[in-house]
Amino acid sequence: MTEDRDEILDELRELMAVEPTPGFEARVRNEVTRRAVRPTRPWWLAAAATCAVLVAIVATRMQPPSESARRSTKTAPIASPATPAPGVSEKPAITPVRVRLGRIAVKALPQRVEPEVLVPPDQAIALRKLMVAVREGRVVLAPVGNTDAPVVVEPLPEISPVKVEELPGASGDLKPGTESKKVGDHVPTEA
Amino acid sequence: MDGHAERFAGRLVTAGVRHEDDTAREFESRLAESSTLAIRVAYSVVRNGSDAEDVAQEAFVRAHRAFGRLRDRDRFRAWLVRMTFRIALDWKRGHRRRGAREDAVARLRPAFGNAEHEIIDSDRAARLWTAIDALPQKLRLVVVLAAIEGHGMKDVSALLGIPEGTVKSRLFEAKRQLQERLR
Repeated sequence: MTEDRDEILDELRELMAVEPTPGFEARVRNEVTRRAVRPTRPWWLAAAATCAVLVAIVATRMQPPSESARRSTKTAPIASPATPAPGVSEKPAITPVRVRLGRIAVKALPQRVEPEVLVPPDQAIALRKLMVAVREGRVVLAPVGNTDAPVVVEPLPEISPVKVEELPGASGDLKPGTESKKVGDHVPTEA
Repeated sequence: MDGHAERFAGRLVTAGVRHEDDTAREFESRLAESSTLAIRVAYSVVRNGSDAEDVAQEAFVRAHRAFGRLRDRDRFRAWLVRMTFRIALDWKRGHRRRGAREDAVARLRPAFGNAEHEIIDSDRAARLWTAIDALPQKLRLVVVLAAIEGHGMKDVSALLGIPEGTVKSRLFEAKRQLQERLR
């Protein structure tokens, strides 16, 4: 039995008695070199490309708004149209409030130089003229609020006088038996 | 760059080159001493000398990639055996569909000049391989490694990372099953 078993091992040993061909080691060496070089290039290329894309994205997001975007940034100066009172510093008291719009909003806005007009152009011109006139003293706005000025009242339409007839028993001479009558029970007389 | 920095950089480059040289030399040495082992392990599965070399080559390429943790000789050989066996099994599974291959046994066995004798031998070899294929993997690897010339129990134990006693019992069981199948 043991001999049989060892015979099997010997047979197997004989069947497996293969040797590497003379060029085997050289082939392995070449393959190792080829594969060692090949994966490095795509790795570097892929890494470089990824970095470039990331940098581009970050740079685009981080850059300050462009000139057009800056122009479209809303500036809302809340300034008094009147000239500053004497003794008050000429420096504007209220600094302009800058409202930075988001990227999408900026893109959606039309590229205009002047700020958004809230009044019709003709009225704006008139308003500007009025402000200039007020500033120069040509127009005095004080009488607008003056209550002493004579007020012209248009005559009202004539109203016919109302006749009120005396109610029966209003003089106080009540008949006997009428004391229990409630006020609500009173029947209005015809006018 | 001043002279000191240049010298330091030069030393670094030299050290790097020396390290690469050492690695290459060590790998060459492992390749030379283990190529027969890898090819035989592969051959026990694929049964074709050329395919066995392809499988062994693939195993060596992978071994080179993982050479940083396989510098130890025993570790390298153990890893190589396992990897070769696995690649060979995958290879065989992948190539099974390609149809009947040339009978490797008949090709590799030397001709004795007697056609009848040759056929009997070839038939016996085919039956033996079939019996080996039918063994469970853990028994199969033990018997294959034990059949490789020069491998004792201790070598097989080191290659598989299992105790010698386990190797002995597995080998005994493998031989018993083979004997039964060949009867």
